[in-house]
Amino acid sequence: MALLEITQIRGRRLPFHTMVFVVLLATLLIVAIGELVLGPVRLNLSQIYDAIVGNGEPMPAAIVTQIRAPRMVLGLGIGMSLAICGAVLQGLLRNPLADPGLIGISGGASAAVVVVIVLGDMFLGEIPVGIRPYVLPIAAFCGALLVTALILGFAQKNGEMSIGRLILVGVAINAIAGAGIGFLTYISNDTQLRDLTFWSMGSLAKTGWFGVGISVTIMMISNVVLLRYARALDLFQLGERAAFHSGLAITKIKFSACAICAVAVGAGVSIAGPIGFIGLVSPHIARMIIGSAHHLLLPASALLGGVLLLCADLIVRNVIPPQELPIGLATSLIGGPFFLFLLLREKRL
Amino acid sequence: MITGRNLSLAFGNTQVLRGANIDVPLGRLVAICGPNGAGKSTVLSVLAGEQKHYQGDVYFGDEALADLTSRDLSRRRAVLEQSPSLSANFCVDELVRLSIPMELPPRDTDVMVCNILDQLGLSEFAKRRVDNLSGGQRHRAHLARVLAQVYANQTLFGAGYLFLDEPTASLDILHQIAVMKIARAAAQNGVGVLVVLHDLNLAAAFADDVVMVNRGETVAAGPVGQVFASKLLSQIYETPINVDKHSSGRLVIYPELQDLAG
Repeated sequence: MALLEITQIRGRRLPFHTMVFVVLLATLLIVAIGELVLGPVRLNLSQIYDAIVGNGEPMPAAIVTQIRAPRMVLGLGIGMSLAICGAVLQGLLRNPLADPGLIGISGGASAAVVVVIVLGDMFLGEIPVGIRPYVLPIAAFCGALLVTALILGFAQKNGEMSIGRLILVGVAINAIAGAGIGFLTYISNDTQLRDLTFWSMGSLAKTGWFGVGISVTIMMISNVVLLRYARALDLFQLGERAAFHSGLAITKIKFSACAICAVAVGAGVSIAGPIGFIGLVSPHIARMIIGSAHHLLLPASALLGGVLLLCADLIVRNVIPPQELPIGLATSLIGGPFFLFLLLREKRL
Repeated sequence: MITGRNLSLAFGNTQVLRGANIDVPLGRLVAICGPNGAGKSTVLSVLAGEQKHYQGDVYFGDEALADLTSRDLSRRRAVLEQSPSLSANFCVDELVRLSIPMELPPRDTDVMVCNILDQLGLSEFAKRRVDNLSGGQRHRAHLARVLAQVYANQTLFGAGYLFLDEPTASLDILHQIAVMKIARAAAQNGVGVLVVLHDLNLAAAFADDVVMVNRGETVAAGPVGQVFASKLLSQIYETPINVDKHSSGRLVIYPELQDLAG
């Protein structure tokens, strides 16, 4: 093949990739604006603009700046983060079914929260009122980190980390967390049950700028760090031996990538509960559009994850306003069939 | 030159290597031959840096293997596994670029990929997905990837070694010869090539030196003409083996099958 031809092919492909990213960014922008406009109280763009620049009437301004904007930012952060972690774990484990839930991170976070909700009164009586709203997010974050530490510890044998062991340990941890959650749900009272619903199906509703700021900052830093793993993830597709032959420090990369995913997912679950399917579906759709090269796949998955999660949130907020469905219902209900449709189309899987 | 001295390795209670020795000079094609389970691939995996708990000394030039990181190693040698795999739907062009060090400028990378695809007859498949290729083509695509790595190493760092672990195992005779010609060409271009081979005739036809391994030990090493002798091969393989000279001057190795005669 002539060199010119290769360069020409590159030349043709670049606009396609650019076009995909432009379309994804534009869609994300539209959905993000939709998140501000749509809701039980319909606002127009000028009200939103006024609210943002600080000239708006008090009520619309409060809706925009105190309710919808933090929710939109959180949705973007979590959607992007779940999707990028899903893409990283799928690449790392060479397993198309991998997502942050698979290796037990979300399960650990949920279990910690359920323990605090149901048994919290026994030991949280003395906690100052000002700190109480943050107890659950902190518990979720600690739960995610604790479970990740356990998983990474168990998955190592003789200093090597086996992907097979990692998945099996994840399955075991999920099972234990599920049993614990089931038992605590059984002994909980009515008020606790409502809280448990939130934490078992996820929601972007309980947000304020403080929590959103911390959580989204952690997620975005993690996302940027994970983008740097693109080349390593490409090499992982050759298998771990060949990746080592190509210069990767395999165990170090597996360990650090999993740990960063745990921090990112823990930060998300701590404020919005576990949200399924985004981490699984977004990388698959992105891969079908843009291919498997991770320097394109990771950012495309992230943008797509943001779009999907905000779409899901728009649906749960607007189906039966002012009531709000758990967002996990929407992501699973939309994501599940859509995923089946994609699988049927894609013969290779 | 790569030198391996007194290499020993045990997997649990099984002693796989018992003081094997090997030299791989730059610009020569060295074949490791021996019976099944002799430790051929294990010698290669020790030199490749895969084994942590071996005993003995391995040097890449004057650098000890133990002091080299995985990144350092990837800049000195490229390895083609026996059964290379690929989980992602990369096209051939993307696969070949994968293992090329980032230090090589993009323009040089393009030229190198282009040349290697040409050399391996893969140009027309450059934009085809690897999983849509036939077994032989897929194997060549992976060979192209390690060749790109080794030539990039040669360009950037002045030397390159290529390790091929039974590269002809799943190929028909045409493709076996094609692969060995590529390995030969690499050696002629100054690359030190180490090939694990079962087929003694391929080794006789293409290798400069042969290292015969049996029960984890090096039992003979040197130029093909010296090592491939009927008596030694018959002892190692525990069956009568003849070594004749073909009219072309090449050695032809074949087992005696008297019990099948008539």
